[in-house]
Amino acid sequence: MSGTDERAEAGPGRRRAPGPRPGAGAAPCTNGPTPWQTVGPYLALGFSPLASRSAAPGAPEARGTIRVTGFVLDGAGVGIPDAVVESWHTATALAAPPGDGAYIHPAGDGTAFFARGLTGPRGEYELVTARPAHRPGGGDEDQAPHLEIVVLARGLLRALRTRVYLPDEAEANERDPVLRAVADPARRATLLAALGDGAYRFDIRIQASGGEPETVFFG
Amino acid sequence: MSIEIDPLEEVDPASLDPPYAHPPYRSTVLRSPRHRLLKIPAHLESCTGPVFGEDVVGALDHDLTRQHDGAPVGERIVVAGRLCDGGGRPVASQLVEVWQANAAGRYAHRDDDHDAALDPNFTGYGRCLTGPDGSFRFVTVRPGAYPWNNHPNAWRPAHIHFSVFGRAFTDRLVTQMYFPGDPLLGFDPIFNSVTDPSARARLVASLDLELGEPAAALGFRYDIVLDGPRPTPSG
Repeated sequence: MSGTDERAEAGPGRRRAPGPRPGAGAAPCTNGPTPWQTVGPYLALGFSPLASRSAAPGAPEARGTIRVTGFVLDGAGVGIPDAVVESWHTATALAAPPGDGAYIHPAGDGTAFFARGLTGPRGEYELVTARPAHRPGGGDEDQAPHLEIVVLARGLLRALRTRVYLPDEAEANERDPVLRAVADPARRATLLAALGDGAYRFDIRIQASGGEPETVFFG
Repeated sequence: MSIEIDPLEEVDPASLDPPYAHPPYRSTVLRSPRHRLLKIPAHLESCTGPVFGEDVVGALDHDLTRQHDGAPVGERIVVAGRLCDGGGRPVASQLVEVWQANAAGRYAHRDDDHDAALDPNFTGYGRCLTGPDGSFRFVTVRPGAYPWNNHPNAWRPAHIHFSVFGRAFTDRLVTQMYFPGDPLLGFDPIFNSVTDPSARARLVASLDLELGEPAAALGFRYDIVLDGPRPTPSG
């Protein structure tokens, strides 16, 4: 509960103490889990402030950064203009600060990276982030470099989770315990980005469309 | 591939969360996967999540009524609660983001063509970091209901969107907070996509006068519980 000093500050036109104050802290959380709900069509209002700002076209990228671009597509093969793609992964710390205009969010100890890209009118998105590192697990458990991905959109009542693996890590991908365990080779291939023009290309198909299979999603 | 490996199991679709395909909410039809989700074994999951520092959050980012020169139109409210894991333990220092319509039911978003007034003193975006006890607190105005074109004469009940991070990236949760006693709740296909009545009730805030500010703002409590706990990070 707020103290009387804080209450005295409250009211129109008065400045309040900065930051959130403990207001509801006394009671324990005894509820069950809070269910998901869709982000709705106006997600950009909530997600733009922390979204990636890509480097200006032609600008050199900082060493150690990668760019992942692609489309988020619905069951008719149409791009979804009101979606957001988020990535999370570990990487070695960047040798140099990100390039001019690039926004890379280092979280925690500086070797973990979060990036967020909103889709444009054709469903296109872009993530600029650090190149992911190998994740040693020991023996057969070594994981190839990958990004953990969350997709949210109007019409998605809960998040979709997937992974982006890199095509120039073929040897590590062959050994990756998650990739190897996707039984259908055509669907396994949906987890691999393609080499594009200065970027990795990774399309996310929420349903099969245009002769291409549905992307593998994880629960 | 030299070594045979068991294929990933499919996730049992039974859940307190909404299904992906929920035809009463029309947009889900083409935006829901047809295959079942595959389960990544727990030991191969990433055990840590984003950690956002104080640099991400400005001093007044939690107060949506103080982002412009003037005060926004509407009923000023405080929305406060705690972010906890599935064991009831507080989740500290995590980012909470909210966005919402203004008091007239209009979003400050270029695609919102609802014929209701925009408020030059209200953007409708806020954020904060949870405190050591998992607490968060926002000051805002009560959003209005608004029409949408899902079905004839469809109206969304008043709601505030919440986006939270947990200790692991797999804890990520985005949801909507509704207001108690709203007669539109029974008609809303998004709210009712959660079929379990007690789980659905957890989407509704409760009036809590103690959380408000006398003569200034009504208080609402909204606790958010993640579907954990997940394994303790082991590095």
